[in-house]
Amino acid sequence: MELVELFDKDYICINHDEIDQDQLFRNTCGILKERGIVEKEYLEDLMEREKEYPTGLKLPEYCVAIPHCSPKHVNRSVIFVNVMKRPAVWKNMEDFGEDIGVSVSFNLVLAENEDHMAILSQMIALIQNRDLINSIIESEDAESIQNVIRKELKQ
Amino acid sequence: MKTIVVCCATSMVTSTVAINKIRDYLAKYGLEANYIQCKFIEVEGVVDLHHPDLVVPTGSLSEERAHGVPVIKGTSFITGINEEATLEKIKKFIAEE
Repeated sequence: MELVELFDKDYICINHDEIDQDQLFRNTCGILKERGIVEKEYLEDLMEREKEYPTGLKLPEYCVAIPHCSPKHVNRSVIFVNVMKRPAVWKNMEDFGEDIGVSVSFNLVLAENEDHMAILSQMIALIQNRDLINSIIESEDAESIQNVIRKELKQ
Repeated sequence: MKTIVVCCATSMVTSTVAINKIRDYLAKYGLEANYIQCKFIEVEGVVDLHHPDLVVPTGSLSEERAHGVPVIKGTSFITGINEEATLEKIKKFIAEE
């Protein structure tokens, strides 16, 4: 699937209140499981991977995260976007001991048959796009986030 | 030719991205290296077996786990921060006798 197709307003959530990573993962995986995107084991896969190999990334103006794990319990692909108006504590991929405050998390829920390389390469470019990430952080609704991402990717 | 071990968590995807970037950068200067890709969990075994000159993890890895082999962190290939500086460091390392 093309990267642009993996973003959808029904899989974009804006969290206004403070939320911790644990609750964020539970909420996200709850929705994904309900819609048949993943099996119930996915939550544990995700949490275990994150614990061992954190996915927090520190950039100059903001911090993001790209949680992902084995495709074993994934039925369909989607990128679930969580915006945290109050940054959530996350461990830094570069230095596991460091806590950073993540404003946007892109949960890469990818099925076995996806081109993981292509998607990750494009995601790396996306997270470095200051204007795009800042628009996402400031956005107040899922639909505008979906639109701003799709517009950027279709260029 | 020097050997670089590039490692990542599990999927082999970030390490592949890193290898491609390193390879392209070195090629610009007419330099080459051997690459071994592995997961963090396999590093100690790989280092003991292949005696690499450098380890580039896309994440946190102590020199202890690299059994004394120099480590240059490769997370800049994901964040873009200091990517050029990281590539320069690797290039200098590969170029020296």
